[in-house]
Amino acid sequence: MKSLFFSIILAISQVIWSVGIQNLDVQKELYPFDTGEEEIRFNKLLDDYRCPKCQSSNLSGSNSPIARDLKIEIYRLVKEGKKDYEITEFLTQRYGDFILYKPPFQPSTYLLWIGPFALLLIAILCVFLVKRSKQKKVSDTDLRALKKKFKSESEKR
Amino acid sequence: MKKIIDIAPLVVFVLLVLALFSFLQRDNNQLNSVLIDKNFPEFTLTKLEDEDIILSKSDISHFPAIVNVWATWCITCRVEHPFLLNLKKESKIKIYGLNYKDDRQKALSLLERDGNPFEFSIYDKEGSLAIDLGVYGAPETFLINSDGIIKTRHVGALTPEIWNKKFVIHLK
Repeated sequence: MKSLFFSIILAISQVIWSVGIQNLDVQKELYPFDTGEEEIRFNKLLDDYRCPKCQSSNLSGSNSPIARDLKIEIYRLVKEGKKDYEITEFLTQRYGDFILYKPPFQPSTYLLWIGPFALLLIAILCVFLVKRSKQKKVSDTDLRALKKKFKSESEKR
Repeated sequence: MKKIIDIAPLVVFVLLVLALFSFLQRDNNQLNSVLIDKNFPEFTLTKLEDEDIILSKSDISHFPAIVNVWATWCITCRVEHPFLLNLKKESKIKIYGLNYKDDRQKALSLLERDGNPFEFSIYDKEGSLAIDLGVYGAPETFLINSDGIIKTRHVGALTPEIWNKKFVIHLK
């Protein structure tokens, strides 16, 4: 039973693996490059740009028509020898910063970039303040108890 | 003072949850176009109705105008079609079509069958002008004012409500 289970898993993973390899081959055929360097750049760019239609996936992970068109456009730009920042400019001039998975640091994104650190700071501050106020409370009661003890002992004498 | 410090984390947490929740409510399908307040992009494409006629930006000559991105494969465009026909009838605004990644024959026969609200349609087989416009899904509608500047963009079918809310304010 166990071995049957494993062989099924193995078969499925083999199918997935071969489909993945095929996809890579298709991609190579669709977007042929002269140099490996260009190809690496192209694939990196597709990973860094967001698909405007599906929004939660990048261009390389999307098969929507607009993602395909943008891939073709980026392929053309890479083949023309455009630099990465020029391609980014081309896309943001049309689709806005939305197309970038890593948004630029500017007034509209301050909250996004600084927010997590600000929250962390607030959290540390809260922990610090709460701890201090508790410590004070303890020492206050300790002091009172001590005084009481001292008083009663002196009364005894 | 001590009380305030004790409830501060709770208050911050509640505010954060409220803020994040309000972001969730936003309609993410309406991306703001970067072309707003910019010139309509230049293009050189053929006319849908006659493949021998080359169109350029100067052919969109009557303002205010809307440019509507449509295709026969786009179901929502058909939903929108009666609105455009009605707009042509009742408003002075000129409607130009941008036929997006379509088949010329299919597009022409659809216009013949359902009516043609457009002055003409630009035939953008490869979607090149669409990319320059930042189009990511048909239908999309751009409003161009009398200076040839894009004033608003809507993604999805136009309805009288959306028309009044997003377009009419720019027409006064």
